[in-house]
Amino acid sequence: MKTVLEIPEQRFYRNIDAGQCPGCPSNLATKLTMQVVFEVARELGQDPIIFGQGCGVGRDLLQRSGIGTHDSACVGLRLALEMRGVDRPVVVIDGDGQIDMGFDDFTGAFQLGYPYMHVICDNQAYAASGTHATGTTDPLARVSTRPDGRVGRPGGHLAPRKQPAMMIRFSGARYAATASPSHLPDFEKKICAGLRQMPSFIQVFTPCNIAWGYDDDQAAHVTRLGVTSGIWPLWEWGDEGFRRTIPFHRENVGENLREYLRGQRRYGHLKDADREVMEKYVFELNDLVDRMAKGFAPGS
Amino acid sequence: MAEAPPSTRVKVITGNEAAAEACRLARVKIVGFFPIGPSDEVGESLVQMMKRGELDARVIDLENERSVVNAQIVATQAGVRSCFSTNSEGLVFAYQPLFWAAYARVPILVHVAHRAMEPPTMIVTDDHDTIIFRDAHWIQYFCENPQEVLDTTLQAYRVIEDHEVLLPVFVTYAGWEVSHSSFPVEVPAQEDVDRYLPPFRLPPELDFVAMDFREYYGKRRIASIGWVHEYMELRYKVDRALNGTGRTRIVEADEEFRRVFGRGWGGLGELYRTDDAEVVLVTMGNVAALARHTVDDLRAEGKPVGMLKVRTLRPFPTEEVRSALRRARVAVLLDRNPVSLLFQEVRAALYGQPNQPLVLGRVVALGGRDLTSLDMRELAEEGFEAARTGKGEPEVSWRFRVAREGDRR
Repeated sequence: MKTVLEIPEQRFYRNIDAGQCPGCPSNLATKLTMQVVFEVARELGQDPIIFGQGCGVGRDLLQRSGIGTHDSACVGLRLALEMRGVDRPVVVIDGDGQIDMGFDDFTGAFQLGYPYMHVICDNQAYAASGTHATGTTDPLARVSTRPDGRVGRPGGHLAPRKQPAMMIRFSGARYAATASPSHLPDFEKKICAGLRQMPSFIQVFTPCNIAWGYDDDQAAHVTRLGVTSGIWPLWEWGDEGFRRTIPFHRENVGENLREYLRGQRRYGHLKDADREVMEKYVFELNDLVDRMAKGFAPGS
Repeated sequence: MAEAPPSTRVKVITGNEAAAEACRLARVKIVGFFPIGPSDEVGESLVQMMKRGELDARVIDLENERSVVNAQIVATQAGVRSCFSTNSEGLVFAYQPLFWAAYARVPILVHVAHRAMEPPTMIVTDDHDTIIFRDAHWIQYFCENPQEVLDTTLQAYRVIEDHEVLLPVFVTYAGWEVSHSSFPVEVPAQEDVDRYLPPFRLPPELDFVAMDFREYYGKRRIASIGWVHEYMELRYKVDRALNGTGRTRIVEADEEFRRVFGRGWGGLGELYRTDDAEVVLVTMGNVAALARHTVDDLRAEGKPVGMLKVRTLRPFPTEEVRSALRRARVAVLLDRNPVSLLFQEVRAALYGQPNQPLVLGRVVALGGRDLTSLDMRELAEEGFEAARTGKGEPEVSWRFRVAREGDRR
């Protein structure tokens, strides 16, 4: 399969101009997803339907259903297409709040196995509503809904984040992956793989300039640090098994993680002991990924 | 009265089965399903029809009513006719998409065999479950018997799919008493239904499947967050669709139904022997059957009594109420819900009218509590007594026979 950059006559796809922040990774991820989906589908002679809702995704007439119901929307759409004798790929792009508010909807639709691709732009917050925690907010991040807590874990989210991509692979998804717009070739390959192995789910790392508290021109840097620090491991789990797609270097965690945390006001309250907690958390996350890669290795 | 077409068959079926027959005749393509008694027999019957090859459709069976209604909405936005049946807790589970359906102008149909809201966890009948959606801009039909359920379902699709209406509809009937009681029902032939009910077509600009997304996302578009400059206009259009065009289309659909099938139900409401009535019993749903008999009995005794059956709670038949009560001295409102909604609505409809009757609100038959012909006669007599004394007190009261008094501890 060709990459997007190899396809001639490219068009530029855009969200609605909803005043997203400059450099918003969610905005970038959405545009890139559309770019890959439309251009790859065109090469294959397909005519995709894309809809969704979210801060960086935008909201307009293409929002087809209420918050937390986009997966059942895909089921209804797939069935209607079937009854009308039409075959068009269905892709939904939304945010991590959709998974929290519609977990039943999310798992139920995937369990039924209708072919569609769900991409979430995960900014670990209800950012447009004042930085409230979601199920994927990382530990110790400052959010507006959690008062300061115990010594060593001040003000913030105490529990490890949910792993919706892993969960949904156990609930009917044929392909699940994490991605980041900082690693574009990897991102593009995963969107293509998701289109080939539906139902598929891709959880995209999309830091939020406002909720996370970094300068707009640092968006790309923070996004890349999320991957290199190990806090956002990149992996995929499809027909061929589970594998890391970008290597994890344990020796780089310390420096990259410190820079990642230092660059965000949501971690501005951390003490040295808290940073050790976060480092331990990153190793635990990556141990989990390594165990999954070992247990569900290609060909295993 | 015109005759039913000769191709009509008579079947002895329940209200739920009548609802399913109507959906089959309407050629629904999507059947929403989630278990809840006493409504789920509609979906079960449709699945049996699919198994027998009588219906070409697909089933939506997601995790709860919210997901099912939402999938039904999007399937309908993609140009496919759909149905779903639920009630009480199922409806409140779907609270969010129910509002979405109305304000996104999606013509979906939901059958409701009424069931009490919890607590306590009861499966008995009570109109309360759809009444709480009276302010959601849904059309709400209240049906008296399985025949009306079947006929109303066909009428409802015709109304809601009109491009000047495009609103969702509840077709409701009493749980158990109608949903599970067998009646002889005239089931029209498919070709007659096809003449009456055209295939579902969305306006092209609203048909999700017809959209070119590549083209759409390839253009610069301005944010529409909040619809600030259009919100009031949008709501105005929805309200006009319900209380303007919708009202007209409901009456027209019933008149056309009478022309094709030889049977009508009065449009927004049925006025029965109200012309010279001194006392008018105002009802909804299957309570109307008993009220009609009581009117006949009392008329035979020379007592000037009539009945108004409110067929659509929304849009509310304001003009029909005023017309039925123009000469009445007392209106006795029989509310089968704990919030005396009919009392509120009728009083509002009469406000400012000349020669207003006394209005007595009576809450009856909640949870299937017995309402006998003697009770109905007493309620009418109470109306005559109020007419004689000129006193309508108490304005609202609950009338019921104590159940199983001996069992009380």
